[in-house]
Amino acid sequence: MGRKILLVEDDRTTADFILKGLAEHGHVGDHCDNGRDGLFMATDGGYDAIVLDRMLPGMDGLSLLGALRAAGIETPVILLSALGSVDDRVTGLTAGSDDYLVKPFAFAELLARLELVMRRRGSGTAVETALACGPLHMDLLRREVRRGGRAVDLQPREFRLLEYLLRHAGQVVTRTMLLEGVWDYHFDPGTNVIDVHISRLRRKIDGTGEPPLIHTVRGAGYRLGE
Amino acid sequence: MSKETTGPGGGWTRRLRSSHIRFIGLILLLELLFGGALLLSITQLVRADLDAADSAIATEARDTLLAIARDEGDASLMSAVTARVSDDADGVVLLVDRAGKRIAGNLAAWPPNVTIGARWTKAMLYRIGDSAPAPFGIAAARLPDGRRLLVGERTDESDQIRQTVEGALLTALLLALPLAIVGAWLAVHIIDRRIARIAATAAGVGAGDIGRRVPLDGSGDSFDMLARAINAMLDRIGELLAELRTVTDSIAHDLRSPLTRMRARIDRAMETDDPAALRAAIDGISREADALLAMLASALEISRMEAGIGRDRLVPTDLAAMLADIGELYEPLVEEQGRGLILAVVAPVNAPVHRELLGQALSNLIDNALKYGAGQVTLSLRAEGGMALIGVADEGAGIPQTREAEALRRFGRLDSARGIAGAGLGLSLVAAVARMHGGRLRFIRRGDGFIVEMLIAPAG
Repeated sequence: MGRKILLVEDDRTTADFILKGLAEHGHVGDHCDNGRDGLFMATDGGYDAIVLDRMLPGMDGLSLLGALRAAGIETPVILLSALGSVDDRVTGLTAGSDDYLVKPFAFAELLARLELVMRRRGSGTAVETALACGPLHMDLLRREVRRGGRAVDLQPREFRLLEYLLRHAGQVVTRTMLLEGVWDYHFDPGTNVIDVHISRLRRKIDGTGEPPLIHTVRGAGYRLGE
Repeated sequence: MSKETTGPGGGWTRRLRSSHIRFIGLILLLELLFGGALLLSITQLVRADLDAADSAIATEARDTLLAIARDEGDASLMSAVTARVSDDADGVVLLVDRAGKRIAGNLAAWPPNVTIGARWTKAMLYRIGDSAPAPFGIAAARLPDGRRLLVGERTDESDQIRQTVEGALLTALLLALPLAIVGAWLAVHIIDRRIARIAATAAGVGAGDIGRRVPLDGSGDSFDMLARAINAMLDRIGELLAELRTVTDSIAHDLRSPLTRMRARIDRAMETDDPAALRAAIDGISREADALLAMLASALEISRMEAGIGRDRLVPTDLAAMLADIGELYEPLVEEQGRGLILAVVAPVNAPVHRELLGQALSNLIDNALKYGAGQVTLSLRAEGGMALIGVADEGAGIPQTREAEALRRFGRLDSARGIAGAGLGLSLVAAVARMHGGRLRFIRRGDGFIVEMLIAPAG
């Protein structure tokens, strides 16, 4: 299902790269290259999500975001920025953005995060007590996991990792998203720490002879699905 | 076009606003106020003094006549009055009867402005035989029989003295005015010269002569203080510039080798037609690019920390819990390498920390222990001398003591590490994080291994 996404980005190359990627994944991307038009379009365009560059001519991204939120428009926003320090990130998130992505980035990362913020807004606040994906069932109250008839014994962190994957079943989740979502850290671990956690989890979930549920997505991250 | 330069009055108002004119004006005003007050008080004092003398002379003469009238009788009074008229050329005397008619003396009639009872009066009087009125100080009295007596003495002399004093003071004041202007101008000039020296230094530094400093005179006055403060600031700017130069030089140097490698891979990829080889080449290039980006991010993060950015984001944190978190994150990776991770919390410590940066630092230390160390990796937390101590230990030989400085240098990589991927920023980032938390980094060598310890200052 295609979504309508507004891209506010003054760099032509980056914009084309994103628009092309969005089109390939069946989304409709509207583009504008300055802050003022961006605010205008964001205010009455009825978009599902906005990808907003932080440094823009006319009106910078943070001001645009501030104006948008002040006007009561809660469209999910992902900030793009070349400012990659931890503090820049916190500033961006406290200004009202739903996510913050540092340039340069892989399109897969942007897409995964876009789908995440759009789903987060769409899903409402219903409390879930159980999650499932194919033969995999997670009981959040009893903290139990079963694959088919087999009980899967998980460590607390493995449980949270699987819970995150289940909540985003079918979507690509990147290593940074996992570090943020499961461990609540945003730094760059430099090594393949997350990969090792995933491979441990995978050994427990995907038993020998069972069709794999945890898939590695080349150049992006992982996806839970049949 | 700026507002100040337009209109004929613009220049004037600007000049009036200038601190020179205001300063000179202020000094002049103070000088005028002070001189005026001095003039007024001195003339008042002189006047009071002269008046007292004049009044004493008049009352004494009157009292003498009254005493003669009382003690020696009317005839003596009459002769004394007559004697006064003939003897005292500067005196005035008048005796009138109850109806105001002159009995004796050298005044034709009782002057209307002289009243009995007033201690002393000054008046212009026209004496019999005089060609012009003259100033007199007068004392008057009523005799017991109703007659009235007036005795006085000329006060020309006191008036003269007073005028002379007033004139001299006014002249002095007028003479002081140009002196005050000169003084004010000199003061402004002295201040100007000292400010100009500071401004010239600032301008010189601004123009690129970074080594220039404001000359100090060691007096410790406010200009010296300003000069010291500016020099301290210039020193700091100089240090930052030197650091920036080192960083940019190192970045340029260290970027060159991965970029060259990347370039070579691209060249090779362009020559091949094999899709698998192409794919592998692109993967390799992508990894190089990631490494470069990570290196840039670390370098920037260190520079930001050194500049003091992020200190406002320190949050009180349970360090034991944080260490457990990080340990849990790395445990699978450590175990996969056939090694173990031990958590040794001696004392639970709460301290305000920058969670992300401290996390990054710990991650770097564990990463180093995995890449360059050997045996078990131990994360420890203890408190010592009011500082929180976070240690990452392994059972390897560690960094040789002689190479510590080199290892801490930005982009510094020991020869033994050249073969292993990394940018040489790991330890310098850890050191920067420790400094940002008011602490430092230290290395401990023991028989059974090597510990890198971060000292973190608690709140305050």
